[in-house]
Amino acid sequence: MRVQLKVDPDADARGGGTRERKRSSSPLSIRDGLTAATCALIGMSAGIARAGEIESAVLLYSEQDRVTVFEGTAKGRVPLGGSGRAVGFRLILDALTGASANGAVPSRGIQTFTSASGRSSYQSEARRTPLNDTFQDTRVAGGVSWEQPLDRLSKGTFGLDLSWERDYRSAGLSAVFSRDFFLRNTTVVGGGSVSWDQVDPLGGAPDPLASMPPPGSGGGDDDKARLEDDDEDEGGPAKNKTSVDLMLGVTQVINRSTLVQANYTRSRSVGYLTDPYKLLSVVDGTPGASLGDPVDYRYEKRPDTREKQSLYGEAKHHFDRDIIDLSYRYLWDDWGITSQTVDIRYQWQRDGPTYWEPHFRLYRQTAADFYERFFVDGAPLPEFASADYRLGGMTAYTAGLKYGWSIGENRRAGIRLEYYEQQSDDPADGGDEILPGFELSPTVRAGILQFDYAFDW
Amino acid sequence: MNRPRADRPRRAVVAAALILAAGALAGGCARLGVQPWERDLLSETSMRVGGEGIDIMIDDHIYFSKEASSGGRGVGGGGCGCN
Repeated sequence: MRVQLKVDPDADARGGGTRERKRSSSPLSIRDGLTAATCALIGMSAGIARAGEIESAVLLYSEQDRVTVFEGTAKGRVPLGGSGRAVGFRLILDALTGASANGAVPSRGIQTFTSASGRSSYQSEARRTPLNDTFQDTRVAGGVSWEQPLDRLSKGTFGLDLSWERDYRSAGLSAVFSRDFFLRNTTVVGGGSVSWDQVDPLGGAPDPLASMPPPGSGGGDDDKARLEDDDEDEGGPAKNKTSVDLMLGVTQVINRSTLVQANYTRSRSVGYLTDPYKLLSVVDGTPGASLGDPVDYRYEKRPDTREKQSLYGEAKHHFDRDIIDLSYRYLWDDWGITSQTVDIRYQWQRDGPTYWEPHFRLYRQTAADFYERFFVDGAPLPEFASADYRLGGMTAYTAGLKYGWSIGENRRAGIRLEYYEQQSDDPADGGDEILPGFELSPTVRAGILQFDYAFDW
Repeated sequence: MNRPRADRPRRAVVAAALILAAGALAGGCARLGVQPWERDLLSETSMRVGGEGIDIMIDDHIYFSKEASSGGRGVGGGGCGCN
């Protein structure tokens, strides 16, 4: 056993647990050793010996020519005495402005689009990817959780989550149980959650695959016809979705410096999974001067169930000063989407209470079976179709750097700058013959700037 | 949307992974790990798993909004109609 014991003159001032304090002296102090041993014996999970903590952050996410999001968020965990019980909370405020690709393809001329109700319209420039710039939304989301020891080695965590936007509401319940084995070196976690979401788009949810109402038709016959035509199971303009998630995971301490985690999750969503704001262009396929010109626009339609599964693995290793965090996720669903995600963070501890943390992430996904970039006029409509670029084949990467520092004994702060880029695996998207020379799936680029502040006790 | 062709090998992969995990749990895990007084490094905030920090929470929300995949680390959390 390679453990050096030394008396730390500052030990009495410590509550035990923060990264910077322990990192500053790699040999184990008597106080820290006893704290770690005590925590392990009285019931804290493998690798998590901490008391109360509150974290907060402000974030600016900005896409080139598209969406900008300003977000404020806070989360925390407050232990209730020495009972092992704890209360957790999280709060998120999002303000979103800017434009989002509406799914239509670019054209030689200016294109005019209307909202589902026809009450408002927006235009896209010639030869540019049509963007809906009418988005301006605020999201308020929050959650609370309750940690309850069930016996000396087991605990349950029960959560309630709520989210509200002008056109979207969500409520969820979760329960996760964990049990430690083998001197708390192995933790088995199992749990589930259920959430109920409601989409209430302005002007009502459009009929799937129906034509977009022409500009200036607001509140007219088209809207009335649509309401009268609604199927009973669609229940009027507001649409509902229910999701159930289940997970089973194992966390294993390998040695004093390394731990690994493996999870299997399964998720089933039923209900309205369509994006009410996304369109597909219907273009002229006749050879000639009008080849590729838009003739119509239709709303997208996705299946009303989705079942996805994932395998997730994570490893953390402590080099006595630096820490590396590696994770990998393999995900697949019954829409034909398969994805792989690799995420690497390296916490490079500097002299004194500061560190640098480079971050790199690589993500690849295959397209959904029903992903179509556009329709050709006269061709039969498929059962399902979406031109949402998020359902297309893509490769995305993130490269970022964080600088963190501690303030006094129990506070810490950090600033993080990241770059995110999303490239379509097929930028022409089958448009070589009908829409030659147009960039149908342009690269999405975004910058992320975050400042965070946390304290513990 | 039934995809029996693609699902069958995936089910086999999942089943194999679960069996391997169970085997590792029953056999190997008992011999891995540390004594309670060797948890100094593991007890640090940055070494925790399961209760992720605010950076991970924020990142998961961004990628949920921009990609067709989400989750993997756990369950729960609020939905959103992100664009």
